[in-house]
Amino acid sequence: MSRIHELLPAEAVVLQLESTEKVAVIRELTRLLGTDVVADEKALLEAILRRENLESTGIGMGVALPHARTLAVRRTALAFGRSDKGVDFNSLDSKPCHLVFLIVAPEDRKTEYIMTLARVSKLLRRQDVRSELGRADTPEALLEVLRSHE
Amino acid sequence: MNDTRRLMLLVEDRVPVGRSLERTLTLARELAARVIAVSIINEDQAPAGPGRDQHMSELEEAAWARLYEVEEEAFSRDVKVSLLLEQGEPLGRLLDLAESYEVDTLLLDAASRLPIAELIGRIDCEVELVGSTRPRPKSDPAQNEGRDSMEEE
Repeated sequence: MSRIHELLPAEAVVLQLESTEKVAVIRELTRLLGTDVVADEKALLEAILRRENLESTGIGMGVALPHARTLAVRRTALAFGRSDKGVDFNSLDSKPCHLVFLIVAPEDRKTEYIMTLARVSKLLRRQDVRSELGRADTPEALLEVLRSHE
Repeated sequence: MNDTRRLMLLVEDRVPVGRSLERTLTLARELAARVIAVSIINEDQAPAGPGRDQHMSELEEAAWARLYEVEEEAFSRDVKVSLLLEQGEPLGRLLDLAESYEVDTLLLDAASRLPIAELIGRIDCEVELVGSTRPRPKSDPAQNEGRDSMEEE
């Protein structure tokens, strides 16, 4: 099974999100995924927002993990966005999110999807990892942070 | 705090979650309740020594995976669910969480490895042991002794 940094291409990393509102951030991140990942951008956005509308994926500690398993994508992939200002994801702890990992997977890759979510969640519970992700000054440096902690 | 009922589902290592999850989701739909699925990693499970960090990491990853399995099932039935992963002494952490999240009902499998009698005696919410004839409501457990006060799964 692929590791997190292998599922996150450098071109899907944005160190300063332009958007400041949740839906716009999710849209910005979905657009970072290439056509080799996304089969139907509109359906993907709908799938992510359907879940987001049922329950926020802001997991606290300044982290959000919007995610979806859907026919609208061809393979499991991640996109990452960082926001200095923070984005309101209606997190359990009511804090704005500064680190946003978008996680998508095809409908038939449930195990890979679950394990990817589990690995990202585990990593991001660590304060040292969150701090390093917050300091990384290039997409490559950010990927190196992930690689070094996996 | 609003009036939405809150159900807390305990998801434990090596305890099948199927029937307690099924009961929780059924109840959540009936009551339009939200579900808080919680796993608690018992640090005492990890052996001391050089492999401890790796072992803890594996326990945590497995716990998250179980929680996301719950989320997937809840999502497929349009039930609101929040996931919580905690570390510590399981009974104490669970009591704290039930109080801080103002939980109305705690659901857990009858095969839970928690000390059930102590849990029921100390928690301030209903407890439903799924798969057992012995679950009891929160108030005065002594009054309910010998009575199967909640439905059997």
